[in-house]
Amino acid sequence: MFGWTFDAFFWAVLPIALLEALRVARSQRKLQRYSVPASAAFGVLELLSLGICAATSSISLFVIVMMARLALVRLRERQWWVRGPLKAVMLAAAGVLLMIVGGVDRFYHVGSASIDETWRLVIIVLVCTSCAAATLPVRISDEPKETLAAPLAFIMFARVALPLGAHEPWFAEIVPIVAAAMSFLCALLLFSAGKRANHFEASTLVSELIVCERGVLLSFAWLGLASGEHLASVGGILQWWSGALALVALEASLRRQPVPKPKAFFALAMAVNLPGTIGFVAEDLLAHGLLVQRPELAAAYVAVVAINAAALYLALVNVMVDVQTRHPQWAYAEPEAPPSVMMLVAAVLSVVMGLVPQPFVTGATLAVDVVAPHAHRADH
Amino acid sequence: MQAIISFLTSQTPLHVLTCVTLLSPATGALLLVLLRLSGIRPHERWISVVSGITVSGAAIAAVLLAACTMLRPTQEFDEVLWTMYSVGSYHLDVSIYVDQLSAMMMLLGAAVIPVLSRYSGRYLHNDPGYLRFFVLIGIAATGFFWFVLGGSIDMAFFGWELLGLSSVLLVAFFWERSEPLVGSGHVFATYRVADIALLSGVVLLHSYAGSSSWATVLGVGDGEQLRLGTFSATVLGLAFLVAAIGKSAQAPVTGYVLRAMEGPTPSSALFYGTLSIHAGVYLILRVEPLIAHAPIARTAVLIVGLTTAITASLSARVRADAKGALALASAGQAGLMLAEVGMGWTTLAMWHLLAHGLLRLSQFLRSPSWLQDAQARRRSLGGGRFRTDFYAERLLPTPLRNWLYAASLSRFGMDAIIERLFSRPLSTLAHLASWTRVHQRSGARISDVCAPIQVPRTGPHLQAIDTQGATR
Repeated sequence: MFGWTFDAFFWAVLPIALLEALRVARSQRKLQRYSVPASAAFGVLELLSLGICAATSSISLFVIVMMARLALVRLRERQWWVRGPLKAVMLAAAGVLLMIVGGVDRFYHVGSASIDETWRLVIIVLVCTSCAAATLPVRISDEPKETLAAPLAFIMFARVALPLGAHEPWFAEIVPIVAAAMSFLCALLLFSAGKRANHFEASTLVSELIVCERGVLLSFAWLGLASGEHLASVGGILQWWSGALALVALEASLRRQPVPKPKAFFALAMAVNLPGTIGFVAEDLLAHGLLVQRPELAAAYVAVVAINAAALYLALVNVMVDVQTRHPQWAYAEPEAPPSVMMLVAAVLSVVMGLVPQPFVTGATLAVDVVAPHAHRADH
Repeated sequence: MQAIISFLTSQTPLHVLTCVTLLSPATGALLLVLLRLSGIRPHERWISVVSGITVSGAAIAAVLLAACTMLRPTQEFDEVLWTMYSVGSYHLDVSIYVDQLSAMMMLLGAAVIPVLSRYSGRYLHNDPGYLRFFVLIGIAATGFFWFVLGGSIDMAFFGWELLGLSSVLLVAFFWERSEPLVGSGHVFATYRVADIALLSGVVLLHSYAGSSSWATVLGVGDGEQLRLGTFSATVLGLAFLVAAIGKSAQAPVTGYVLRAMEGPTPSSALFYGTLSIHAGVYLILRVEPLIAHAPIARTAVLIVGLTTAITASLSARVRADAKGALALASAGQAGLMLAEVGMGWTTLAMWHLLAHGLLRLSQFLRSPSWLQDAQARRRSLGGGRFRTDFYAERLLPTPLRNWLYAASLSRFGMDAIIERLFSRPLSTLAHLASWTRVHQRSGARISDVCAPIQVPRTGPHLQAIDTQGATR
């Protein structure tokens, strides 16, 4: 009844799902004070739900599992919030429309389905709005009600919006502009948070920093995937991985008191795509790919990269400085912070992937070949 | 003898020397990081020994590599070592290119880095960040050699970023104080703009020339003609100039070097006396064949260089602190070098760079004992008073002299211009963007929304809290 597609894109999503599952398990253990088995069970459930959504070729199963996951998160966190259900409803609506209007229940039939132009537009807008909602900076707490790397929205974008958008000339024109605008907005919000840091408490500033940075990094990934250029799309997938790792590292290092500065600076290096990390490869491919197809977007991209780096550093410095000035002298003595597993995992992965990037670049290329086979291939 | 020379100039020894130069400092830094992660607290002596051996090894290999390359008939060594990654027809190669220019720059690095490593071993005695400092020195040395030896602009960019990162982290070295952290933020922002300009240059170079290898793009390897038109060369030249302005503290961003002086003296000497401040000049020297085909870019290089030389030199004369004066003077000299490149005097600029780097190194390293040195010098010259009789400035009319003094003190208002042109509009834009956040508009604190930051459950931090509580 339900088909499975263990294609290259599934293998691209799986590391993200693993990271999210690790994050959920850690959060349940450390913040909710669940026992180790219960925390592990929550992590496994998260991995299962995201993994099934990535592996299934059935749109109906995707929608069912997504809704079930929503209920699970509600059970786990014991509260409702707005954005998660909103995104899920939009994605579900897009899936249901595909099944009803297009008569398809398999992701790999979406590209060849004969769907009326208006409905196609509606479905694309629903998926893209969901992606935009996923990247918009909305305040989060340390409890992972929200995923860091928005895998569900991006799976739907890659499996549904990209094949449908291949028939629409405006898709590759407008969606990357929206993504670039989102990244610019998120970078400005990050800058604003850093500039007005004195209005915030340290924990609030950390939350601001993480959600804004998440918006910037996910927008870059979205920009690459939507660009319609092969090289930029590969860069987009790599940016997605790199962004997820950087966000995990930022969260693991900044939500400690006092902030472990070496770890925080390393997380910063990961977030701003410095050489030796996988983000550098992603940045290189994205910039080259965008320049070929859309020079104006390439210019916007590099401008946002610069603003983002400066804003992130400013916010990070304010996290450190404010923490110090608001506490009495004994807070200055930095204790030996216990090793953070999440930080270590993220840092090692990022450096290994950055120093030996070819296998990961090949994996990302295969994933792009699956979801965007018609992407423009320039001669470099 | 001929056989020895032909062996030394063959590929195998050059490859070995290249690998030692590029990897040795990184290995030292990695070793120190692994020691730290494993919980071992090595003695200061061992830290400085590990750092000293690895950076000195790289320096010796660099000198030998430069010498062997100069013995080759072409006096060049251009080699692709391996392909880092490839997608379709696009690939990023790890390649090296050695010629007279890079050989000279390598000699500067080889002379400076081991000396600084040795000096810092004693200078930072008992400092809590001792190990961190040497790790960063290792990263800086790695970045420098990758930048200089890089056979393509991609590799140069790789080294350029590492150099910048280590520089920023060393400015923030005393991070228990807020000033170094804030100062490092300014340095980071400036460097990041320079990085992005260089990245744009990299991407544009790929786009215009289809290659990023120095030898093929600039025609400096085998005497090929440039394949770029005037427009492309101008755009590229300007992108590289912006990068050089950021890295070499040229006008109008000269002021950031003063904030960078928050770092320890050895790191100031390394970055703002010798390596980093000259990296931008080296970049412009490297792309000089390209700038030669772009009159607009060449004129811009000349103007920027001369402006910096004048303003930074005047500002350096009115600085009250030794390190600040030295940093501004370095920026001024870097400006002169750029002006020399703009005039087409590249050989002069190369020698100027080498000589200036070595001189500044000694001046920076002696700056903590500047007064003592001056008095010792005076005593050894037979005593007497400091010079008080004639200064050229006194020839100027008093109002002009006063204006010049005030302008030099404020660095000719360049910081204010940057603030007005870039920082303030961006802040305004960011402020407007933040209005989209409903919960922020009220300005109320929302700490109840957020989870508390985790506090370690054990360790001296909590013990301190307990002690405090018990005392109360």
